[in-house]
Amino acid sequence: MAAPESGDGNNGAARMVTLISSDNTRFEVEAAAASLSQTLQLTILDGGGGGGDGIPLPNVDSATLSKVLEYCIKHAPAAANGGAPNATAVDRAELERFDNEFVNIDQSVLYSLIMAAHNLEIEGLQSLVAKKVADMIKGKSPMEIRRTLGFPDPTPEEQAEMNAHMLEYGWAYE
Amino acid sequence: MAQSGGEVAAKRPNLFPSGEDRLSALPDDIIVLILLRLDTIAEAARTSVLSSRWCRIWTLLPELTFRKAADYGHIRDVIAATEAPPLRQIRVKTNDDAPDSMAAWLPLAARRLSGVLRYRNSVEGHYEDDEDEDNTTIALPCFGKATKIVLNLGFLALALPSSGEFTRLTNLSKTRPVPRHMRAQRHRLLAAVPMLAKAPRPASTGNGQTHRPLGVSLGDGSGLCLRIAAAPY
Repeated sequence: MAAPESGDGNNGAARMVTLISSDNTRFEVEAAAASLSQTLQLTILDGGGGGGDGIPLPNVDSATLSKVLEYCIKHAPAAANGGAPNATAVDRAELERFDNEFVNIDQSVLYSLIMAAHNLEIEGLQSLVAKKVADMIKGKSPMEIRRTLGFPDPTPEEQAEMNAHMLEYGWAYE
Repeated sequence: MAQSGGEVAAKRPNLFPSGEDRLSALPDDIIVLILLRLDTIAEAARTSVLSSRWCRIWTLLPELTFRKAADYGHIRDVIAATEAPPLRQIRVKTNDDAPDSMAAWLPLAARRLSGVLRYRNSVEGHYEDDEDEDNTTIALPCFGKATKIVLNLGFLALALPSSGEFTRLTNLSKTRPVPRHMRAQRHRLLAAVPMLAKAPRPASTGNGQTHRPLGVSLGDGSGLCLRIAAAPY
């Protein structure tokens, strides 16, 4: 999946790339980690992001980017192995533990992360965050869902809309 | 994405945005990803109450899962309501014992589905003699675009379409000993579907005690796989 060093003969130190957040913070990471992003992978394969250049990411702020890269660095080795085949049960358990811990964060960070994962096309991170948000919805009543996701209590108009919906789609609420 | 400072993670900008603002900023694709992680389509539909932004997004889901009795009566309505371009998967788990309720949604599912149908009926029952089949028989319509159909019918019997509509069918297998009426179905299918009729026949099942899967493969590997899991008798 993630591209190995593209045969430039640089077998020693891992190739590094620089990413620049929307607020102009520079992050230097291994190309293999950044390549978990489908969006970045092409640029990196083309030799971009090295030297003093850096790849600007105008949609991702530095707080979010550092969180995204934390995920990428942790997941890069497994991705380089093509995922599961070589991974031991211990490795996988460790990744799972990391993932659970990783999304145990403030909701605002969660939404920034899912947007960034979407823009950068990091599949694993997208589904990790989507699952986390889904878990916050599961098994709850409409009002509980609203409160959990930080929606204000409905206005009378919204309440009327909710009631109409619950009438129309009664089966969903049984 | 409204953050500007950002040197301290999770520090809020001056104005506190509500969860509603943040969630409403998410594109449909992402909300679909979230809803796909819920257990059933009913649960996804319930998120409509969040805001007008979320109201119809559940109808974009390319995978539909029905698990509870309450969902079951509305499968047809749900399939009819969905607007997902290709419907990748329909999964039904039920203990409903009336084939006619399945008949209400199967034809529509057959038209809409471009992927996988998984149906599992866990009703307990006994095989009756062939004469009693009528009220426990499910008529399988043509799933022209389906790539895989897995039916676990419990005690229900299956009637296959008589015309050659399963032109993409490349595999028919049963992983358990096959009851008498199912054996008859298999022969009907072989007769009904031209591609299958040309395929080499699997070894005879003899007295029906064999546990070997009955497999018919045409070898092009890309077509419809119909797997009928028959309950033991």
